[in-house]
Amino acid sequence: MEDKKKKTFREKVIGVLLQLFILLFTIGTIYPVLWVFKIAFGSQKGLSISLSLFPTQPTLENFNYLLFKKPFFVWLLNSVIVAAATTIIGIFLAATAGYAFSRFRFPGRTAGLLSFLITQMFPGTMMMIPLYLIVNWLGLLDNLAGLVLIYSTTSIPFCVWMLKGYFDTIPKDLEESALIDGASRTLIFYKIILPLAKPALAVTALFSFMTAWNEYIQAATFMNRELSYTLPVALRNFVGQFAQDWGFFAAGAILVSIPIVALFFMLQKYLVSGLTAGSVKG
Amino acid sequence: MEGTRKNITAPLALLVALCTVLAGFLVLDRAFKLDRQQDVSLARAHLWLRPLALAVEADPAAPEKVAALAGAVRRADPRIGGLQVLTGTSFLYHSDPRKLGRDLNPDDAADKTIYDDGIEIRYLLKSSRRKPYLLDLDRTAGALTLSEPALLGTRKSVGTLRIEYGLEKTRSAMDVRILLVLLASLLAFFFLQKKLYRWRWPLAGFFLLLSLAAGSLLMLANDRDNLRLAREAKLSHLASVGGVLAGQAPDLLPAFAADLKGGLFSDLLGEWKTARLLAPGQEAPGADRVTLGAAGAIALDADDAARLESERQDARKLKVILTVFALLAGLLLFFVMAGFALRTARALAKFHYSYIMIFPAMVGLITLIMLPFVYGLSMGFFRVPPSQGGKWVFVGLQNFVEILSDFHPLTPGNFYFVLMVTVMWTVINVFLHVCIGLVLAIILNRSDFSFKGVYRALLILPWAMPNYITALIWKGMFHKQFGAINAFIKLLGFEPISFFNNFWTAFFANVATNTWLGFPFMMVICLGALQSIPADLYEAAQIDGAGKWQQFKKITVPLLKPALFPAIILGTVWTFNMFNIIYLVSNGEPNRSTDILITQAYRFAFEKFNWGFAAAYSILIFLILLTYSVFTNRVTRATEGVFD
Repeated sequence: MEDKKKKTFREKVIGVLLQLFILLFTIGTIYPVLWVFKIAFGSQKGLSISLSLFPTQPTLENFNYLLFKKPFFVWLLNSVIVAAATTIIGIFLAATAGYAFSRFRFPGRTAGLLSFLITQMFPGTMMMIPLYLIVNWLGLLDNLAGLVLIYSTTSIPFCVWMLKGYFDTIPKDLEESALIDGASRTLIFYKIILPLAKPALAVTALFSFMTAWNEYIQAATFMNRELSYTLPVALRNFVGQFAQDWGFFAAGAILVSIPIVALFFMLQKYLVSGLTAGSVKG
Repeated sequence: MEGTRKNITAPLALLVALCTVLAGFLVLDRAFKLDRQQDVSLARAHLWLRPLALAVEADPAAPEKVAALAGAVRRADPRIGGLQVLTGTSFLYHSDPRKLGRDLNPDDAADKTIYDDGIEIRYLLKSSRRKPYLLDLDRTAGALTLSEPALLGTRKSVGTLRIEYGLEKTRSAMDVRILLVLLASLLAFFFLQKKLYRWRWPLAGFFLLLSLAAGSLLMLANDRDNLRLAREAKLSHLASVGGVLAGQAPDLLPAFAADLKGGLFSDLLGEWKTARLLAPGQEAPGADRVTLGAAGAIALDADDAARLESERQDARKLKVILTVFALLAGLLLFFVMAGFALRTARALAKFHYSYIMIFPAMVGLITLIMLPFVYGLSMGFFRVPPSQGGKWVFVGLQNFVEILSDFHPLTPGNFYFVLMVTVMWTVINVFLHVCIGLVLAIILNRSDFSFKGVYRALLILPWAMPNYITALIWKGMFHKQFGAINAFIKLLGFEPISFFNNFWTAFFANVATNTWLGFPFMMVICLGALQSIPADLYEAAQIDGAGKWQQFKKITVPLLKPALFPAIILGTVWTFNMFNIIYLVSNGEPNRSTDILITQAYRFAFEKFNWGFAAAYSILIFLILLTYSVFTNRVTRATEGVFD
């Protein structure tokens, strides 16, 4: 493969075919996304059955309605607060725990790691009723803090495992020499480990943020006032049982997805290394 | 030295625990015995008073007759410490000869108490709820004092009768059988722990539980014996009362027999519902029979209600035993834990840094995941019947039995049908995710491929999108009137399809959505793993003459495994519980047939409000996933090395 000049005809054909395949596949993949744009920029009445990606009557009325006739910015603020708080708390909890699980051998370590793993198998519906009771007992119904609490804990197990895997790949020699130089464990954690673990931290942050930004069912259960909705709950109500406002939904979907997709692409370069570093040691 | 010390801690702990158990049983046993004996003494005292009361009732103005009968009663039973019959303000009978036939002396404290008792009983008679007698139990003096009224009609008191009656002495002999059981388990443990040293603590716990169980059974058996003995004692006592009555006032016998069925005093006797006088030689099959010499016999028919009550009391006792049992088990746990805590404390001191670091995450995990989980788990054993006003009723395994025994795998909504759909859903999805992800990753990993970065970015897009939006977009794509899929179908010359009116098309819509959503994750995982495979491995293989397929089989696949297997396990678990897609795309349509287990559980909880069923469903989901994960983990060794 190194010497490109000697490429045979057969290899060239394969290369072109692969290009074509990927191109078609990619078009197929992003088609639904583009379709949303069509719906969002089209008129509610102009919905018609067609494969074309251009709306028949281009208009901004959906965005206008959503942004200025609905408390969109309140919902946005709610979502941002919840997602940001979840990310900060989740990262802090997961990083410390992940570091301890990666570096220290203490009694209960295996049990702890396993318990984090097993929680992934809990069906969410089973937790809803008890969680509702707990949130109610804490007086946090209709309160963003309740959502933050729940989201940050639900994202912990996955984040701990991921960070633990990444910390495992950071050589121990660094810390050992720092210890000899008289640095404290805490200093090492903040000054050496965390900067080195940036990719994994970025990915963890992304996932925590996504958990909070995208979660629908619990938000719908715990938030009952229209002004305390997060974006998913609000958007879902446009195409719920009693409404079919696809235009508003599509406009909202675009507005909601833009920040998270942007974040995703920004952190993309970390995604591969952050996700797989722990599991691939070969 | 170390070895011998080790050998002794477990037996010692068990010994201590067993001694505690023994003490507990002794205390309980004695309490039960006292209870029964008090019961018997009370019945006896009552049985002595009734004929006297009947005599007063029959003829309040015939003091001689009452006094004669009372005197006979007094002589018949040495346990009677004092006996008074008071009508108005004068004693018809008083066991103290000096007061016999006299009026009350208001300055005498004893006289005053019986007078006060009479007033209080009159007051009690007015309330239909309360029993018209006064009982004063003095355990230390070993006597009880019982005051009863003589009645005119049903609720009018014409006199007060009062008896002081000595309680039976209780033998507090240790039950040898319990002692033997405890001893045997101690010895058995002692010998077994040598062979199973590693398991000595669970073993000790097992033996403790075993002896607790055996002891409890013995206790219950003892209590049954107590009950039988009490019954016999009452019967024999009834015979002697009847004897006295037959001798002194045979005319009262029919009234006495009729009165035995209880009435106002039913709880004093309690075991029989109807009593009737039998002529000599008359038989009464199926009833208890008390012979009264020449006067005939009294037949007593068992009171079913009272027997139920006594059974209920047995159940209550069992509850007490079980509580004690649990307390003791807790105590044992405490002893075992004390050792454990000591170790933990040492570990805490030694590894405090680690524990501080995981503490916040653990607290969150326990309070907001584990606790709700356990709560949810326990809900599966309860049910809220609509008729009972929202009260939880414990139904044991009934929810599970109902779900699992209803085997109709072809009926939508049935557990087995939903399970099949769920498994099919999971297998198809994970298979597609992995295949598509792997193929894309291999292509994008080719060194000669152009626009790699652009493609990768665009192909990750579905993952970046919030999945509820994805789900709703696809719901729109499958829309009959304006959906793009139907536009495509129309383009091919077919009629538009209502996707959610048919199981397979609705299922297909779900799968298409979830495949679109899920392949980027697998692609990223595969890309990462592929990139970490050193290129020289392929070069070396090429030099050795291996073809592309062989390279893929011998290098790529084995080296992908460590990254791919955990991702597959995780992906399976996620897909199995993929609530959003099913709920938002097909929403179970048509006719709830495309529901998977998790959405079905959700519907039980929040649409039918059958929380017990929902919890049982969730438990089944959890068990299925746990079994799957443990099994695949064993086979693939996916987490091998993760815990070192």
